[in-house]
Amino acid sequence: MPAQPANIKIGGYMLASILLMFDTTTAILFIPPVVAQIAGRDGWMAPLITIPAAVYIVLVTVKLGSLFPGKTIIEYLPLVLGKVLGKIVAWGYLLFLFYLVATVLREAMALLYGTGIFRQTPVQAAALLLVLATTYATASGLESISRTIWYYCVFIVLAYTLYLLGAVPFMNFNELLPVGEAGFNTIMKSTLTPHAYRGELVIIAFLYPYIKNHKEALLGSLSAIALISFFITASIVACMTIMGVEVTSRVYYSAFFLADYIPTSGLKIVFVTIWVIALWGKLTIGQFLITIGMAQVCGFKDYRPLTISVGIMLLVFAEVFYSNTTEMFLSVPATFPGIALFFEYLIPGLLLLIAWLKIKASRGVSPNAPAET
Amino acid sequence: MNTLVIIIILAVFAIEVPYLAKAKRYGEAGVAGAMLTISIIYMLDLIYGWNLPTLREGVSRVFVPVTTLLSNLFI
Repeated sequence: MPAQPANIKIGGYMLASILLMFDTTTAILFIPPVVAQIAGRDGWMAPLITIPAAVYIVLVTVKLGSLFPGKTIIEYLPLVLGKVLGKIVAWGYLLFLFYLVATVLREAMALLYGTGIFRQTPVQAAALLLVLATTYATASGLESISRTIWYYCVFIVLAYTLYLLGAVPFMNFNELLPVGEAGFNTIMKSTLTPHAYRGELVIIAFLYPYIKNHKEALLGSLSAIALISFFITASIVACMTIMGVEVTSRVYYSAFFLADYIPTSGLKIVFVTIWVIALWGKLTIGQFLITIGMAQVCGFKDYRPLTISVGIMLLVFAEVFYSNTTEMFLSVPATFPGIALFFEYLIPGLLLLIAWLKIKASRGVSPNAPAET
Repeated sequence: MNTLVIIIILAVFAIEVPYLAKAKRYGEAGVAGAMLTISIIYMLDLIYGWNLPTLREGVSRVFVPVTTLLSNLFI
Protein backbone atom coordinates (compact mmCIF):
# COMPACT_ATOMS: atom_id res chain seq x y z
CA MET A 1 0.00 0.00 0.00
CA PRO A 2 1.43 3.42 -0.93
CA ALA A 3 2.65 5.74 1.83
CA GLN A 4 1.12 8.70 -0.01
CA PRO A 5 -2.30 8.47 -1.73
CA ALA A 6 -1.75 7.77 -5.45
CA ASN A 7 -4.71 9.96 -6.44
CA ILE A 8 -2.55 13.04 -5.87
CA LYS A 9 -1.30 14.05 -9.30
CA ILE A 10 0.89 17.01 -10.17
CA GLY A 11 1.16 18.64 -13.59
CA GLY A 12 4.24 19.10 -15.74
CA TYR A 13 4.60 22.77 -14.79
CA MET A 14 4.55 21.87 -11.08
CA LEU A 15 7.17 19.19 -11.67
CA ALA A 16 9.30 21.72 -13.56
CA SER A 17 9.07 24.17 -10.64
CA ILE A 18 9.96 21.44 -8.11
CA LEU A 19 13.00 20.35 -10.15
CA LEU A 20 14.06 23.94 -10.80
CA MET A 21 13.92 24.77 -7.10
CA PHE A 22 15.59 21.53 -6.03
CA ASP A 23 18.48 21.87 -8.45
CA THR A 24 19.26 25.57 -8.81
CA THR A 25 18.89 26.71 -5.19
CA THR A 26 22.27 25.43 -4.05
CA ALA A 27 23.85 25.10 -7.51
CA ILE A 28 23.73 28.87 -8.15
CA LEU A 29 25.40 29.51 -4.79
CA PHE A 30 28.17 26.92 -4.97
CA ILE A 31 28.93 26.14 -8.63
CA PRO A 32 30.41 29.55 -9.69
CA PRO A 33 33.43 29.44 -7.33
CA VAL A 34 34.07 25.73 -7.98
CA VAL A 35 34.12 26.04 -11.79
CA ALA A 36 36.08 29.32 -11.67
CA GLN A 37 38.74 27.69 -9.45
CA ILE A 38 39.26 24.83 -11.93
CA ALA A 39 38.57 26.21 -15.40
CA GLY A 40 39.03 29.95 -14.83
CA ARG A 41 37.28 32.09 -17.45
CA ASP A 42 35.97 28.96 -19.23
CA GLY A 43 33.99 27.85 -16.19
CA TRP A 44 30.72 29.17 -17.67
CA MET A 45 30.71 26.24 -20.12
CA ALA A 46 30.35 23.62 -17.36
CA PRO A 47 26.54 23.88 -16.85
CA LEU A 48 26.01 23.64 -20.61
CA ILE A 49 28.22 20.54 -20.88
CA THR A 50 26.10 18.80 -18.24
CA ILE A 51 22.89 19.07 -20.33
CA PRO A 52 23.28 15.64 -22.06
CA ALA A 53 23.81 13.99 -18.65
CA ALA A 54 20.69 15.69 -17.33
CA VAL A 55 18.68 14.51 -20.34
CA TYR A 56 20.02 10.97 -19.71
CA ILE A 57 18.76 11.06 -16.10
CA VAL A 58 15.35 12.34 -17.16
CA LEU A 59 14.95 9.70 -19.89
CA VAL A 60 16.10 6.86 -17.60
CA THR A 61 13.98 7.83 -14.57
CA VAL A 62 10.87 8.57 -16.65
CA LYS A 63 11.24 5.25 -18.51
CA LEU A 64 11.69 3.39 -15.21
CA GLY A 65 8.61 5.13 -13.84
CA SER A 66 6.55 4.11 -16.85
CA LEU A 67 7.76 0.48 -16.54
CA PHE A 68 6.56 0.37 -12.92
CA PRO A 69 3.40 2.50 -12.86
CA GLY A 70 2.36 3.83 -9.45
CA LYS A 71 5.68 2.90 -7.83
CA THR A 72 8.57 5.02 -6.61
CA ILE A 73 12.20 3.92 -7.00
CA ILE A 74 12.13 2.66 -3.39
CA GLU A 75 9.21 0.38 -4.27
CA TYR A 76 10.50 -1.00 -7.57
CA LEU A 77 14.09 -1.53 -6.43
CA PRO A 78 13.19 -4.90 -4.78
CA LEU A 79 11.20 -5.86 -7.91
CA VAL A 80 14.24 -5.33 -10.13
CA LEU A 81 17.16 -6.35 -7.91
CA GLY A 82 15.46 -8.92 -5.69
CA LYS A 83 14.18 -8.46 -2.16
CA VAL A 84 17.48 -8.35 -0.22
CA LEU A 85 19.67 -6.37 -2.63
CA GLY A 86 16.74 -4.12 -3.52
CA LYS A 87 16.16 -3.22 0.13
CA ILE A 88 19.89 -2.58 0.68
CA VAL A 89 20.04 -0.20 -2.30
CA ALA A 90 16.78 1.45 -1.15
CA TRP A 91 18.38 2.13 2.27
CA GLY A 92 21.42 3.42 0.38
CA TYR A 93 19.17 5.94 -1.40
CA LEU A 94 17.65 7.02 1.93
CA LEU A 95 21.11 7.56 3.44
CA PHE A 96 22.13 9.47 0.31
CA LEU A 97 19.07 11.71 0.74
CA PHE A 98 19.81 12.17 4.46
CA TYR A 99 23.36 13.24 3.59
CA LEU A 100 22.15 15.54 0.80
CA VAL A 101 19.33 17.25 2.70
CA ALA A 102 21.31 17.66 5.95
CA THR A 103 24.12 19.24 3.91
CA VAL A 104 21.61 21.58 2.25
CA LEU A 105 20.33 22.63 5.69
CA ARG A 106 23.90 23.35 6.75
CA GLU A 107 24.43 25.29 3.50
CA ALA A 108 21.30 27.32 4.26
CA MET A 109 22.71 28.26 7.65
CA ALA A 110 26.06 29.04 6.04
CA LEU A 111 24.30 31.45 3.68
CA LEU A 112 22.43 33.21 6.48
CA TYR A 113 25.45 33.54 8.75
CA GLY A 114 28.29 33.62 6.17
CA THR A 115 26.80 36.63 4.41
CA GLY A 116 26.28 38.50 7.66
CA ILE A 117 22.47 38.56 7.47
CA PHE A 118 22.17 36.82 10.86
CA ARG A 119 24.83 37.50 13.48
CA GLN A 120 23.66 37.04 17.05
CA THR A 121 20.81 34.57 16.67
CA PRO A 122 21.99 31.06 17.63
CA VAL A 123 22.40 28.87 14.52
CA GLN A 124 20.26 26.14 16.07
CA ALA A 125 17.37 28.57 16.51
CA ALA A 126 17.37 29.57 12.84
CA ALA A 127 17.76 25.92 11.76
CA LEU A 128 14.97 24.84 14.12
CA LEU A 129 12.55 27.39 12.67
CA LEU A 130 13.41 26.36 9.12
CA VAL A 131 12.92 22.66 9.96
CA LEU A 132 9.62 23.52 11.67
CA ALA A 133 8.42 25.10 8.41
CA THR A 134 9.61 22.18 6.26
CA THR A 135 8.07 19.63 8.67
CA TYR A 136 4.71 21.40 8.56
CA ALA A 137 4.81 21.42 4.74
CA THR A 138 5.90 17.76 4.59
CA ALA A 139 3.02 16.73 6.85
CA SER A 140 0.62 18.66 4.58
CA GLY A 141 1.46 16.37 1.66
CA LEU A 142 2.77 16.60 -1.88
CA GLU A 143 -0.17 18.55 -3.27
CA SER A 144 0.35 21.42 -0.82
CA ILE A 145 4.11 21.31 -1.34
CA SER A 146 3.90 21.36 -5.13
CA ARG A 147 1.30 24.15 -5.23
CA THR A 148 3.27 26.30 -2.78
CA ILE A 149 6.51 25.71 -4.68
CA TRP A 150 4.82 26.55 -7.99
CA TYR A 151 3.62 29.94 -6.68
CA TYR A 152 6.93 30.70 -5.01
CA CYS A 153 8.85 29.57 -8.08
CA VAL A 154 7.10 32.12 -10.32
CA PHE A 155 8.01 34.86 -7.84
CA ILE A 156 11.60 33.64 -7.42
CA VAL A 157 12.21 33.26 -11.17
CA LEU A 158 10.88 36.78 -11.83
CA ALA A 159 12.86 38.32 -8.96
CA TYR A 160 16.11 36.54 -9.88
CA THR A 161 15.68 37.41 -13.57
CA LEU A 162 15.28 41.08 -12.62
CA TYR A 163 18.36 40.76 -10.38
CA LEU A 164 20.39 39.40 -13.31
CA LEU A 165 18.97 41.97 -15.73
CA GLY A 166 20.00 44.69 -13.27
CA ALA A 167 23.54 43.33 -13.51
CA VAL A 168 23.71 43.33 -17.33
CA PRO A 169 24.89 46.98 -17.77
CA PHE A 170 27.90 46.25 -15.54
CA MET A 171 29.05 43.11 -17.33
CA ASN A 172 32.38 43.18 -19.15
CA PHE A 173 32.27 40.25 -21.55
CA ASN A 174 35.97 40.67 -22.41
CA GLU A 175 36.59 38.87 -19.08
CA LEU A 176 35.46 35.64 -20.79
CA LEU A 177 37.99 35.92 -23.62
CA PRO A 178 39.86 34.00 -24.94
CA VAL A 179 37.29 31.19 -25.05
CA GLY A 180 38.72 27.70 -24.54
CA GLU A 181 41.96 28.93 -22.94
CA ALA A 182 41.78 26.31 -20.15
CA GLY A 183 41.82 23.38 -22.57
CA PHE A 184 39.43 20.42 -23.01
CA ASN A 185 40.59 18.34 -20.03
CA THR A 186 40.44 21.21 -17.54
CA ILE A 187 37.01 22.29 -18.74
CA MET A 188 35.77 18.70 -18.43
CA LYS A 189 37.28 18.47 -14.93
CA SER A 190 35.35 21.59 -13.94
CA THR A 191 32.08 19.83 -14.90
CA LEU A 192 32.36 17.15 -12.17
CA THR A 193 30.61 19.16 -9.44
CA PRO A 194 28.00 20.63 -11.84
CA HIS A 195 27.30 17.05 -13.03
CA ALA A 196 26.67 16.06 -9.40
CA TYR A 197 24.29 18.97 -8.81
CA ARG A 198 22.49 18.28 -12.10
CA GLY A 199 22.16 14.64 -11.11
CA GLU A 200 19.77 15.70 -8.33
CA LEU A 201 17.14 15.39 -11.06
CA VAL A 202 17.11 11.72 -10.02
CA ILE A 203 14.32 12.73 -7.61
CA ILE A 204 12.02 12.26 -10.64
CA ALA A 205 12.28 8.53 -9.80
CA PHE A 206 10.62 9.30 -6.44
CA LEU A 207 8.04 11.70 -7.84
CA TYR A 208 6.97 9.85 -11.01
CA PRO A 209 3.91 8.07 -9.51
CA TYR A 210 2.48 11.45 -8.53
CA ILE A 211 2.85 13.03 -11.99
CA LYS A 212 -0.26 13.18 -14.20
CA ASN A 213 1.15 11.23 -17.16
CA HIS A 214 4.27 10.27 -19.10
CA LYS A 215 4.08 13.28 -21.43
CA GLU A 216 3.77 15.78 -18.56
CA ALA A 217 6.73 14.12 -16.82
CA LEU A 218 8.93 14.44 -19.91
CA LEU A 219 7.85 17.98 -20.78
CA GLY A 220 8.17 19.19 -17.18
CA SER A 221 11.60 17.63 -16.72
CA LEU A 222 13.02 18.82 -20.03
CA SER A 223 11.76 22.37 -19.53
CA ALA A 224 13.32 22.25 -16.04
CA ILE A 225 16.66 21.28 -17.60
CA ALA A 226 16.46 24.27 -19.98
CA LEU A 227 15.67 26.69 -17.15
CA ILE A 228 18.28 25.24 -14.79
CA SER A 229 20.99 25.44 -17.47
CA PHE A 230 20.04 29.02 -18.30
CA PHE A 231 20.02 30.29 -14.72
CA ILE A 232 23.25 28.59 -13.63
CA THR A 233 25.13 29.67 -16.77
CA ALA A 234 23.77 33.23 -16.52
CA SER A 235 24.82 33.40 -12.86
CA ILE A 236 28.37 32.24 -13.63
CA VAL A 237 28.65 34.67 -16.55
CA ALA A 238 27.31 37.53 -14.41
CA CYS A 239 29.76 36.76 -11.56
CA MET A 240 32.78 36.40 -13.86
CA THR A 241 32.07 39.42 -16.05
CA ILE A 242 31.31 41.75 -13.14
CA MET A 243 33.52 40.57 -10.27
CA GLY A 244 36.25 39.02 -12.41
CA VAL A 245 37.39 35.40 -12.48
CA GLU A 246 39.75 35.73 -9.50
CA VAL A 247 37.14 37.12 -7.12
CA THR A 248 34.51 34.64 -8.31
CA SER A 249 36.83 31.72 -7.60
CA ARG A 250 37.51 32.92 -4.05
CA VAL A 251 34.05 34.00 -2.92
CA TYR A 252 31.34 31.55 -1.92
CA TYR A 253 27.82 32.86 -2.59
CA SER A 254 29.32 34.95 -5.41
CA ALA A 255 25.79 35.40 -6.83
CA PHE A 256 24.87 37.10 -3.53
CA PHE A 257 27.90 39.39 -3.56
CA LEU A 258 27.03 40.52 -7.11
CA ALA A 259 24.66 42.91 -5.34
CA ASP A 260 27.70 44.88 -4.11
CA TYR A 261 28.53 45.79 -7.71
CA ILE A 262 25.00 46.93 -8.64
CA PRO A 263 24.09 50.47 -7.46
CA THR A 264 20.43 49.64 -6.63
CA SER A 265 20.10 49.57 -2.83
CA GLY A 266 18.54 46.73 -0.80
CA LEU A 267 19.32 44.02 -3.38
CA LYS A 268 21.05 41.81 -0.83
CA ILE A 269 17.94 41.66 1.32
CA VAL A 270 15.84 40.77 -1.75
CA PHE A 271 18.35 38.06 -2.67
CA VAL A 272 18.44 36.51 0.81
CA THR A 273 14.64 36.65 1.09
CA ILE A 274 14.10 34.77 -2.16
CA TRP A 275 16.88 32.35 -1.33
CA VAL A 276 15.45 31.49 2.09
CA ILE A 277 12.17 30.66 0.32
CA ALA A 278 14.05 28.60 -2.28
CA LEU A 279 16.02 26.75 0.40
CA TRP A 280 12.77 26.04 2.24
CA GLY A 281 11.45 24.54 -1.01
CA LYS A 282 14.50 22.35 -1.52
CA LEU A 283 14.55 21.19 2.10
CA THR A 284 10.82 20.46 2.05
CA ILE A 285 11.05 18.32 -1.07
CA GLY A 286 14.06 16.52 0.39
CA GLN A 287 12.36 15.89 3.73
CA PHE A 288 9.20 14.69 1.97
CA LEU A 289 11.18 12.24 -0.18
CA ILE A 290 13.07 10.86 2.84
CA THR A 291 9.86 10.49 4.84
CA ILE A 292 7.87 8.68 2.13
CA GLY A 293 10.97 6.63 1.31
CA MET A 294 11.33 5.55 4.96
CA ALA A 295 7.62 4.69 5.13
CA GLN A 296 7.80 2.68 1.90
CA VAL A 297 10.95 0.79 2.78
CA CYS A 298 9.47 -0.11 6.20
CA GLY A 299 6.10 -0.99 4.63
CA PHE A 300 4.01 1.59 6.53
CA LYS A 301 0.62 2.74 5.24
CA ASP A 302 1.13 6.39 6.15
CA TYR A 303 4.31 8.44 6.13
CA ARG A 304 3.09 11.20 8.50
CA PRO A 305 4.09 9.56 11.83
CA LEU A 306 7.73 9.74 10.69
CA THR A 307 7.67 13.40 9.59
CA ILE A 308 8.77 15.00 12.88
CA SER A 309 11.43 12.37 13.60
CA VAL A 310 12.95 12.83 10.13
CA GLY A 311 12.92 16.62 10.61
CA ILE A 312 14.71 16.32 13.96
CA MET A 313 17.25 13.92 12.53
CA LEU A 314 18.01 16.35 9.68
CA LEU A 315 18.42 19.17 12.19
CA VAL A 316 20.89 17.13 14.25
CA PHE A 317 22.78 15.73 11.24
CA ALA A 318 23.18 19.24 9.78
CA GLU A 319 24.93 20.22 12.99
CA VAL A 320 27.14 17.17 13.52
CA PHE A 321 28.20 16.48 9.91
CA TYR A 322 30.57 19.45 9.63
CA SER A 323 32.52 21.01 12.48
CA ASN A 324 32.65 24.34 10.60
CA THR A 325 31.60 25.95 7.31
CA THR A 326 35.06 25.74 5.73
CA GLU A 327 35.08 21.98 6.27
CA MET A 328 31.73 21.79 4.47
CA PHE A 329 32.95 23.87 1.52
CA LEU A 330 35.98 21.60 1.15
CA SER A 331 34.08 18.36 1.71
CA VAL A 332 31.17 18.79 -0.72
CA PRO A 333 33.16 19.14 -4.00
CA ALA A 334 35.44 16.28 -2.87
CA THR A 335 32.58 13.90 -2.05
CA PHE A 336 29.49 14.82 -4.03
CA PRO A 337 30.69 13.85 -7.57
CA GLY A 338 31.59 10.35 -6.31
CA ILE A 339 28.19 9.79 -4.69
CA ALA A 340 26.44 11.27 -7.71
CA LEU A 341 28.19 8.83 -10.04
CA PHE A 342 26.56 5.91 -8.23
CA PHE A 343 23.21 7.14 -6.93
CA GLU A 344 22.35 9.61 -9.69
CA TYR A 345 23.86 8.07 -12.82
CA LEU A 346 24.94 4.41 -12.57
CA ILE A 347 22.23 2.82 -10.41
CA PRO A 348 19.23 4.22 -12.36
CA GLY A 349 20.89 3.23 -15.65
CA LEU A 350 21.63 -0.29 -14.38
CA LEU A 351 18.10 -0.62 -13.01
CA LEU A 352 16.65 0.22 -16.42
CA LEU A 353 18.98 -2.27 -18.11
CA ILE A 354 18.08 -5.07 -15.67
CA ALA A 355 14.36 -4.26 -15.89
CA TRP A 356 14.51 -4.41 -19.69
CA LEU A 357 16.39 -7.72 -19.62
CA LYS A 358 13.83 -9.16 -17.17
CA ILE A 359 10.95 -8.03 -19.34
CA LYS A 360 12.64 -9.45 -22.43
CA ALA A 361 13.25 -12.74 -20.59
CA SER A 362 9.63 -12.97 -19.47
CA ARG A 363 8.51 -12.16 -23.07
CA GLY A 364 5.75 -9.65 -22.74
CA VAL A 365 4.75 -10.40 -19.14
CA SER A 366 4.17 -7.32 -16.92
CA PRO A 367 7.36 -5.85 -15.36
CA ASN A 368 6.00 -6.71 -11.90
CA ALA A 369 5.95 -10.40 -12.77
CA PRO A 370 9.63 -11.36 -12.14
CA ALA A 371 9.49 -10.38 -8.46
CA GLU A 372 6.12 -12.03 -7.89
CA THR A 373 7.31 -15.37 -9.24
CA MET B 1 21.06 25.96 22.83
CA ASN B 2 22.06 22.30 22.29
CA THR B 3 20.45 21.45 25.64
CA LEU B 4 17.23 23.10 24.47
CA VAL B 5 17.30 20.99 21.30
CA ILE B 6 17.69 17.84 23.45
CA ILE B 7 14.71 18.91 25.57
CA ILE B 8 12.65 19.42 22.41
CA ILE B 9 13.64 15.96 21.12
CA LEU B 10 12.77 14.37 24.48
CA ALA B 11 9.39 16.14 24.47
CA VAL B 12 8.65 14.87 20.95
CA PHE B 13 9.73 11.37 22.06
CA ALA B 14 7.48 11.50 25.12
CA ILE B 15 4.46 12.60 23.10
CA GLU B 16 4.82 10.82 19.76
CA VAL B 17 6.10 7.34 20.58
CA PRO B 18 3.46 6.48 23.25
CA TYR B 19 0.75 7.97 20.98
CA LEU B 20 1.77 5.72 18.09
CA ALA B 21 2.10 2.69 20.40
CA LYS B 22 -1.37 3.38 21.81
CA ALA B 23 -2.74 3.44 18.27
CA LYS B 24 -1.13 -0.02 17.81
CA ARG B 25 1.24 1.34 15.15
CA TYR B 26 4.22 -0.40 16.70
CA GLY B 27 6.34 -0.29 13.54
CA GLU B 28 5.98 3.47 13.19
CA ALA B 29 6.59 3.91 16.94
CA GLY B 30 9.77 1.80 16.72
CA VAL B 31 11.21 3.66 13.70
CA ALA B 32 10.31 7.11 15.09
CA GLY B 33 11.76 6.11 18.49
CA ALA B 34 14.97 4.86 16.86
CA MET B 35 15.43 8.06 14.86
CA LEU B 36 14.81 10.23 17.93
CA THR B 37 17.23 8.13 20.00
CA ILE B 38 19.94 8.52 17.34
CA SER B 39 19.26 12.28 17.35
CA ILE B 40 19.63 12.46 21.15
CA ILE B 41 22.88 10.47 21.05
CA TYR B 42 24.38 12.81 18.44
CA MET B 43 23.26 15.91 20.36
CA LEU B 44 24.94 14.51 23.49
CA ASP B 45 27.98 13.86 21.31
CA LEU B 46 28.01 17.56 20.42
CA ILE B 47 27.81 18.59 24.06
CA TYR B 48 30.32 16.11 25.52
CA GLY B 49 32.63 15.88 22.48
CA TRP B 50 32.57 12.08 22.10
CA ASN B 51 33.47 12.43 18.39
CA LEU B 52 31.19 9.61 17.27
CA PRO B 53 31.53 8.61 13.60
CA THR B 54 28.88 10.20 11.39
CA LEU B 55 27.27 9.35 8.07
CA ARG B 56 29.31 12.16 6.47
CA GLU B 57 32.60 10.53 7.49
CA GLY B 58 31.48 7.19 6.07
CA VAL B 59 30.39 8.88 2.85
CA SER B 60 33.72 10.70 2.58
CA ARG B 61 35.70 7.51 3.19
CA VAL B 62 33.91 5.69 0.39
CA PHE B 63 33.33 8.41 -2.19
CA VAL B 64 36.32 10.81 -1.97
CA PRO B 65 38.52 8.19 -3.74
CA VAL B 66 35.84 7.89 -6.44
CA THR B 67 35.84 11.66 -6.97
CA THR B 68 39.65 11.66 -7.08
CA LEU B 69 39.52 8.90 -9.68
CA LEU B 70 37.06 10.90 -11.77
CA SER B 71 39.24 14.04 -11.51
CA ASN B 72 42.30 12.09 -12.60
CA LEU B 73 40.53 11.11 -15.80
CA PHE B 74 40.97 14.69 -17.00
CA ILE B 75 44.63 15.41 -16.22
